[in-house]
Amino acid sequence: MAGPVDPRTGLSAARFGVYVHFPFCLSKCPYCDFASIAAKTVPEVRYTDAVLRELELRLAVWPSVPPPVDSIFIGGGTPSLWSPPLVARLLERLASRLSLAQGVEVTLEANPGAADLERFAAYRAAGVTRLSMGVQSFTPSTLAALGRAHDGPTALRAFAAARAAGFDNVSMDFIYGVHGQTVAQVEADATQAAALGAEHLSAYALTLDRESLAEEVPLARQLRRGEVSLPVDDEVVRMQRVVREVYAASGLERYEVSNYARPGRHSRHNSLYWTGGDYLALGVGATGTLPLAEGRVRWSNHRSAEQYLAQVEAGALPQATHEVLTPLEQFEERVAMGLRLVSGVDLWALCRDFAQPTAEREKTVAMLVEHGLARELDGRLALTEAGFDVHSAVSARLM
Amino acid sequence: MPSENAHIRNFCIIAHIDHGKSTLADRLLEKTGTVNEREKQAQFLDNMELERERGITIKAQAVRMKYRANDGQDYVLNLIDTPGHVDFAYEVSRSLAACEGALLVVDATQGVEAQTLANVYMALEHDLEIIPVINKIDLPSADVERTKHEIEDVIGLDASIAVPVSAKEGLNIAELLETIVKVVPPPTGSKDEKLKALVFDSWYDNYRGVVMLIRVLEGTIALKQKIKLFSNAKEFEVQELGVINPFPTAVKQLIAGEVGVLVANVKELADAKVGDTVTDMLNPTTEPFPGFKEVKPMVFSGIFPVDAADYDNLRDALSKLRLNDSAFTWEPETSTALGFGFRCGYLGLLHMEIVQERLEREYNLNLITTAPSVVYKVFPIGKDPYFIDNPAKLPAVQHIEHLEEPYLTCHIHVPNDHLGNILKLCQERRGIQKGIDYIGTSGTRVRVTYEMPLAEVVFDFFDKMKSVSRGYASLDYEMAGYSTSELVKLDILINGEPVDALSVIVHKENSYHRGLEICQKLKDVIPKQMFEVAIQAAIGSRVIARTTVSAMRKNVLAKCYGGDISRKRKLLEKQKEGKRRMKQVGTVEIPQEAFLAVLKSEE
Repeated sequence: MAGPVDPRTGLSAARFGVYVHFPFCLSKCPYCDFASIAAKTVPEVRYTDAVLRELELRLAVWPSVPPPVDSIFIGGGTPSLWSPPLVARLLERLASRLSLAQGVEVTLEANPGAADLERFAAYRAAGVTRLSMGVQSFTPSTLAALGRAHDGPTALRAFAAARAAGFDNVSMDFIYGVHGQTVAQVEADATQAAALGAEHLSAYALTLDRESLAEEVPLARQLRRGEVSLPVDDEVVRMQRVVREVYAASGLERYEVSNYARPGRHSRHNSLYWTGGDYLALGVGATGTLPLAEGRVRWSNHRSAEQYLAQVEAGALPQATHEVLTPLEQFEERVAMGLRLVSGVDLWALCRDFAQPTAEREKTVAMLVEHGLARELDGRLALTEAGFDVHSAVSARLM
Repeated sequence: MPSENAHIRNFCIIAHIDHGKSTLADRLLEKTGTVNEREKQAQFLDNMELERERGITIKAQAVRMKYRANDGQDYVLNLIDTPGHVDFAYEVSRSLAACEGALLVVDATQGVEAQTLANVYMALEHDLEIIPVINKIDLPSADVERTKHEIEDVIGLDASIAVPVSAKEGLNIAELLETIVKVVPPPTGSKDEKLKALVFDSWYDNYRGVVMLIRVLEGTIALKQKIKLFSNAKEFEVQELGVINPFPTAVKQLIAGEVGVLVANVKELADAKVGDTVTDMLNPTTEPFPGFKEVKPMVFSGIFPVDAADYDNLRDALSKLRLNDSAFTWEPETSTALGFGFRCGYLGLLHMEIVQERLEREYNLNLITTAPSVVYKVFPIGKDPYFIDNPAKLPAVQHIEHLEEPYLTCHIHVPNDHLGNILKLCQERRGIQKGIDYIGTSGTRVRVTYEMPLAEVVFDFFDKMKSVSRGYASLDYEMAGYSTSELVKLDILINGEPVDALSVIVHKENSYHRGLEICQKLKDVIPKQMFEVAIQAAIGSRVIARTTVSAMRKNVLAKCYGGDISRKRKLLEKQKEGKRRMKQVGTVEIPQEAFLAVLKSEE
């Protein structure tokens, strides 16, 4: 699958994508900071109407003709609760109001507990090309600690269903560094995941610190009260090493801090975030970044469904925040995001793009290379495995 | 006919820190009608923001009060307030020299405190008439008779004239005023003699230039008069004379015995030093007032801007500061670790802290101060000796024949109960005992005399002395010259690179202990870096101590997608900002406080 390439990272990545958020879940996970709403009945028709209405509102303020869409990502929440006909309606509308590029990547996030063959087949028929499943773990104690409703066999069935429905591009998410989890359990999860033969795997260290998250999550409160304790950093780093080695042995290469893929199967859509691409966002709590009349704008929609619906239905843009990114901020983001990639980033080209001085940065780069934290890779600056462990510290020094 | 100055009384107040000096001063101002109800503000005398916050007086003050005594006559009472910290001992002595009398405030519930003794003795050396004032008699635990007894026994003063008061309640203030008039002698000196006036304080005013507080000893000083300062023979014209009652009030002249403000177009504080004598240009006095001495800085440290771009701002701030603090000195200094900065001299550590605080507060600068050092005398092999105020400048040991360090003669007044602790402390600080004398007849008060290296005294000795004596010991000192010492330079290496700004000169016997202490201190203050950091202490090429700051293990954001980018960028920006407040030395980021960490010793 070819597609556009970001010249600063050498990564094939979408240049313009659409993110659609579906906030509804059957229950809330205690570690999740995404905009989500636990609901017994999902007002999905009303919500679909609102999202399509928002699309019109966004198009109305668009200063030019939107470029072709390289990728669509339907995230949540639990988008696999969204009825396939409504997803089809959404995708049809996107195709008619925007132009879709050849080979557009369309990802839908699926919860293993809310999935079956028929449903997956319907998504596929609607135009979804890639499924991303939130498996998190196969180990009962880890799933319990994370408050997940499904069990290991359910996840395996969901994966089989995806394959049976014809998805040849399936990703699964895992979490490590969970309270009570051992390195051996992480290894077992990784081994089982790799053995399934998924095209793409993500493995995230459990993150609960308030500053990194959009809101305080229940697990963070438990941690603060001392009711749970996370593995120490050394242990978490060991877990990460095990995951990387097990995945690599199965042909899944790390391409980003927390992401692994078979060659050519990395997420085009997520890659656009790491390469400074443009993205339109629709739905509750969704964040978009686009070059608009006033500059490069990033906005976020209301995280409350009521507020979102009320605004859109009244014909107003449902956004809660709006910022115009300065050249320095854009530079900082491109550096920090680019360094998350194994391919690295052309720091000096970015300095030129955004008119940033290089002298101090040259010294810092020399220091990083000397200490084995970074290296030069095809004219780009790339972090080593040791460098990835301290990605924030490195980025803060080059930003 | 009585002389013109027969109705003048010049006096100061000596008091232990919380025995009520400022409150008493406020009562005197009120009782004499110098301040009215409306103008009252607590502690009128301390007017610098910093002084008020720290509860110490840095600059001297002089307030004129009018008082009609019971004899029906009008008197002028000049209350001269004195600085209250050991760093400013010379200023205290000049303020006392401007007085004829002193009120010794003693807390009726606490008795005589050792700390006041040093100032009482200084007052007695200046032949001041001392009136004991027994304060806080409103408190139930007040014991006036016992306090009187203690004053006689411990200090040897006549307590029959003691005045019991309550400054807080305003009790007996009238009686105190009467006693001041009766007991404090009027100034001597004639208004027709050749002018001789003592500068007992001076400061820089942004609008008027240097303002001097003077005590006219002989003769008369008048507006437009051509005057001369004795120490530097510089000539000026009197532009402004005034008294403070309690707001500045212009006068045409000041005569012998009077205290007031003099402004004479003096541009630099260094031209109007405390202790100098003002005389007439054309008809000068032959003898200046004795005891003038140049106040010289005793402690030096480097001051560097955290951000090199602030260098010019720092230089401007230092030159402005110098305008109103002539005891403070500065000159450019270059450090391989910290870049361009300044070597600054201070009277002592409190003075250093005050300077640093003023620079940061008034000039909004972000600074690194290096550990303070005294001035050492270097005797190089085959060359003339010279002085250094910066450990980094000490030559390699093979080029040095020997080193000398400055010593102080320290007199410590301490109650017998705490004598053991004080002797132990002095011993630990390499003191050489010169004498132990019991004061008074009760056998409870002791004056010990030690010769001690300035370097051992200047840092935390004062605080330690207070803590081991539960606040009862007082210190008074004078320079005792230089003596040979077994000194070595302790270099600190960070990841193998010597950091000049962290070098200290220490006594050989303490060097291993100090080396380890500094390494541990630095390990505590240097945050984890992306790689391991080795901290070593070395004498010459020999490493004597080492600690290690382990590398940060994990510092990465697990997830970063479209909705997180702004928040995560801000997190990283914060981290970047935190790094900016640190100084990059080689590849290691060192926080500001690390450079002073070598100063603090652990007990």
